[in-house]
Amino acid sequence: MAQVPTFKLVLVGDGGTGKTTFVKRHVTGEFEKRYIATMGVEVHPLGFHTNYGEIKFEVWDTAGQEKFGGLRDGYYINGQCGIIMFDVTSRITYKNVPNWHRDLVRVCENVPIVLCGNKVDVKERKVKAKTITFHRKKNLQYYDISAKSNYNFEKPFVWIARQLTGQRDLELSEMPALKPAELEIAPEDKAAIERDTNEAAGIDLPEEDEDIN
Amino acid sequence: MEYLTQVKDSVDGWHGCLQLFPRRPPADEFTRIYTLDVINAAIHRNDPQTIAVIKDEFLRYVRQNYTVPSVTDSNPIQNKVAQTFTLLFLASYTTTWTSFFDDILALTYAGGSEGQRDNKTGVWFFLRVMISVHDEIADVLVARTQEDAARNQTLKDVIRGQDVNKLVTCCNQILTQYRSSDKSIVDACLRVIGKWVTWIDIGLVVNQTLVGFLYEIISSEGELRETAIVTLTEIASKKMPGQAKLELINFLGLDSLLAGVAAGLETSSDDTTEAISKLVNVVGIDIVKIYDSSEGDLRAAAATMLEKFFQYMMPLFRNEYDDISREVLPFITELLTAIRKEKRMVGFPNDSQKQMLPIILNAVLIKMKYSSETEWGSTDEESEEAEFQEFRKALKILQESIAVIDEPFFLSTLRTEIGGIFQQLKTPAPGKPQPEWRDLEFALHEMYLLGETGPKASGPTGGLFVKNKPLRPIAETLAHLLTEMMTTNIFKSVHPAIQLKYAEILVRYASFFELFPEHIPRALEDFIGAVHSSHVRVRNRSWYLFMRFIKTLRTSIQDSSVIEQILGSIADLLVVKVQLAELDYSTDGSDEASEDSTFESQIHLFEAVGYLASAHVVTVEKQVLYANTVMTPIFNDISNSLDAAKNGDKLAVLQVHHDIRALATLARGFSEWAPGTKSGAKPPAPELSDEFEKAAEAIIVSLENLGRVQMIRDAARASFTRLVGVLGARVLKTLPRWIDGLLATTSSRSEIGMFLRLLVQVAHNFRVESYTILDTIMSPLLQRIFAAMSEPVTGTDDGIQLTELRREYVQFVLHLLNNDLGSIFVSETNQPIFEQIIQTVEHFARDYSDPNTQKQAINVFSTMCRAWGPNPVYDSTTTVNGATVPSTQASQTSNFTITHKPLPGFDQFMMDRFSLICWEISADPAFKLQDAQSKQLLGEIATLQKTIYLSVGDRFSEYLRTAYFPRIGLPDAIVSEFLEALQKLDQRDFKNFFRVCESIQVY
Repeated sequence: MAQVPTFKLVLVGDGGTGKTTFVKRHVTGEFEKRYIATMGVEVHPLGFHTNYGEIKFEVWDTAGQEKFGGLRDGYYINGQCGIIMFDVTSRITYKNVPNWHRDLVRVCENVPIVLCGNKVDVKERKVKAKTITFHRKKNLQYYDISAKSNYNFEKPFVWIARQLTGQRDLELSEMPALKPAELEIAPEDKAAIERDTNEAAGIDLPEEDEDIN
Repeated sequence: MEYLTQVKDSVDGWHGCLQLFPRRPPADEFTRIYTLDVINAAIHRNDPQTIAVIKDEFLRYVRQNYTVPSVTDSNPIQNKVAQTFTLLFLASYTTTWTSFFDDILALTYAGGSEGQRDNKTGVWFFLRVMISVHDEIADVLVARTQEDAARNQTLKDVIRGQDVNKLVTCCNQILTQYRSSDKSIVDACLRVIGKWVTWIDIGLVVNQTLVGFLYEIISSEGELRETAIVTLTEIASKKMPGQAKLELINFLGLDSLLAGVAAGLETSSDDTTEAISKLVNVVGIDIVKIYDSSEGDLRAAAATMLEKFFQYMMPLFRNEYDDISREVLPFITELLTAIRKEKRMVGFPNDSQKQMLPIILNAVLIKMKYSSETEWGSTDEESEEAEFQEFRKALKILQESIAVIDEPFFLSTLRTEIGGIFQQLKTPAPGKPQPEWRDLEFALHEMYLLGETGPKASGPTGGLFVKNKPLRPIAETLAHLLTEMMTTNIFKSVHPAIQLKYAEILVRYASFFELFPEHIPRALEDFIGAVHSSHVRVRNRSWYLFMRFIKTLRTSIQDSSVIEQILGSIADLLVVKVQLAELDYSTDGSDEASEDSTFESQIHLFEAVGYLASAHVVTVEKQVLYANTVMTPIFNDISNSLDAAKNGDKLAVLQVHHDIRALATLARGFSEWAPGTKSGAKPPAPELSDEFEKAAEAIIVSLENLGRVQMIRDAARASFTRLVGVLGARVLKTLPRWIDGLLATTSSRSEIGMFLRLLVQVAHNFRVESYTILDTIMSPLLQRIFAAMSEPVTGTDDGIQLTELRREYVQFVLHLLNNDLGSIFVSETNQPIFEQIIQTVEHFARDYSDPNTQKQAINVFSTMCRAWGPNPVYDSTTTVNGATVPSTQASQTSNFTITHKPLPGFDQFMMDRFSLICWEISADPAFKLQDAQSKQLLGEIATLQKTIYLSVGDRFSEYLRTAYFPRIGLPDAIVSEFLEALQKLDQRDFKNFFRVCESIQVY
């Protein structure tokens, strides 16, 4: 049997943005994770079944090291793709995204990177969809996610897989087994999130003119 | 790990790293990167000596290692070294290392002739440093402290004064030297230029050589094409005054470039086309802005250029890929905004702009259609579908702009486009194909949007079709198209996307049918089809839409036999059947989202039946018959399920739950009347109430048997409100049974809170009629509430629930008082608990954690004074010839009439207890004067003071003067000022006085 294509994925972002919660949603990855003590990092192998066969991401989660620095850039070595995560309920975590991005591309040149705004399930959202523009300037992909409710869990991986394989029509043939959602996003909230995201996509468009006549 | 962190944090850990990093053979990659981290941290500590040592060592290192053709350091290492250099640059460029760039530039020579950048490794390192320095000091996306921003400004100034020429020259030489031999160097160099051009003198960078070079790349169709276009975009979007910008655009020759590109667009790759789109977009926006903000020659020049760029833009907008179209949306939007502004000022768009409108609108309409490759509703394409819908929204904004600029043109275009599709569907012109689903979906989508276009009256479609009113042009067009649509048989085209949209349109424009009732039969017929659809999404959505449609149009159906027919044809859908999948519904009721959506949709049908069966053309006998026909099977179902449900069969419990909700929803459709309110609705006929008494009985019996299940209690509590509408006061006699069933021992605080709200509704609906029953239950009920409020709080959610319950409780007391049921609190039955009521309310009045409840608690006291004080209270008093004349009655201003009935001894109570609270609060240190909430609270307190005065009279002021104020030691001057205000000012003025009178509040 052919080796499953495997890619090193670096997961970065401020502490407390939910990176660890996010990777732990993937049941088999959580089961097979290994801890590299010398580096203080947990590696979660997350497998996905796609219409082009299986693909695996070795997700490097630097959980808990953000504050002290840990190995910092050392983690990124040989990274083939990345996820930058921030917390939509905390503005500062979004402000720091450019720094994470710069650190990441310094070591991982030209790799596909997804920006994820986590915790969209929280009602008191601080980073509004229309203020999230960093990805457009740097040609990254952006997704709203909610680790706790599994909302959009697979989206970043599918997008990265498309970039890495060059198959634009790559899709998941089955959803990975995820931990049951700890909370549900009510359909109307989901609709609202999507509406805001969509509206934000056309943000260059000015608002409806007041004196419309 | 810990050791590594220690090394980094230690003051001299970097010494070892400085030796370890350059060692040959090199240590492993991780170690080397870590040593660089430690060194960087050392530079951050900003000790000049350390920095000098590190600088010398690193300069030595790069001179030794980056001047050889084959470099051992990986790209990440080189980038990290460039970062270290950048940090050294920040720390010393303006002081001790002014030759920073000279030293870096020196690396690019391998010793060949002048102007030869023949050391490839050095060239790479130069470019890496250039990118790193820019990102550090000039990247606008990075948030910086004010200090850093000021430092960066200085650094940029020094670079501009001292080094920028050399750097630009080097870039140019690199481009010349490597243009054919090393594409990746050229790529990096172009990116450097694109970055730096944003903040250095553009004249230095942009010259014929560079432009010529870029064009050569762009026309060569090589790999670098995209980078070259991006660089060109960066250059072209540099901020500068209008005149200069137009000159730059000319100088860059964008016009001829784009003319060339436009011709060869077909052959370009998607990525290149997207890059071109971005270029056209940024330049287009700039031109529009110049045009919009200038006059005379400049404006004319901008107008000419705008026309050209419009022509380059349109093919990009029309591109089959939405990703590419999307890039130019901001340009079109700016353009339309400018045209709109021009029209506002001169009354009409100029000729050239007028010609643009149809071009844009036609393109918008083409893009609005599903593309020929998409299929609808396939789950594989969910994200594409979402993106398309998002794109449609952007297109909608464009077409709305056009509608504002030229409404007649817009409407006639839509009329032709959509009408044409309907016409083709009705009578296909020979030789032309039948419209496919994408055409029909497009037509319907446009019709759906039309209601949102134009000036908004109220709501998206408000006031579109109003009887006896001339139709506005949009409504006229819409009416024409709706008439066309209703005569096409479009529903029969079976495609679910069409059916869904069609049903949505029927509901959105339901008021059209009031004006044109001749189309109602067709609409109803199609709805009957839709609610029976085999496509689940169509069916479930139609159930809801059907209800909405019926709700609006039931009065327009003049023939009771039609109603009978409809009822007959949907009877088969009224079977309540629990789906096995629904069993996930957890018994604590917290997980409602997992409830099966089929039942949640089906429930709307019961409401629709209620509306239909109670329509004004239906006789009472028939109404009773219909209600009976629908309810009897449900009753049977309940009695069949009850035993199993009692034994814990979850499926049976759920079945009963559904049955209760079905009955309640049916009742809701049957009556819009509510007792005690002034809506226009009529109470239901007694015969009908007889029928629904059976429903109430069925629900109560279910509750009595299954009341321990929260799901059942929730459903029953919700049904109560609906039943009030069909039963009126008859519901009262069963109230004790409801209360027994609804207040289970396991009820949570939030459940009790909701229950109180239900009682408030009863009090409001029935007022005195509910006196006896509420009087009976009050004491046990209040004890239950006091117990619930005193239970310990275990966690955040619990705390929130408690706050809510307190709020509900105070509201409950207040509502009862306002509905003239206050005497319940002091009746013989409840006298014993009265003191406790006062104490709890007093407690909340002193509790700053919830300012709302606090305010309401004070309000409760004022209301009690009005009801039970010695004299009736009038809102304001004016003194006419020494006599006090009531102007408006206080009790009526708030929509409530409170009967005034003095309680013996209450006057003393008011002065001792209520008044005291006022002073306690304003003296409390926790009370913050500044915030708005405290101001409101003060107002409430002032009202209470004044109310006591109005009721008790001068005895109150005497009490304050002789008993209370001396006790708290209020100075005489303030005492008399206060008492005078209390006596002379009316409610409102006194409120203002009290708010501003801070001298009182400090006591």
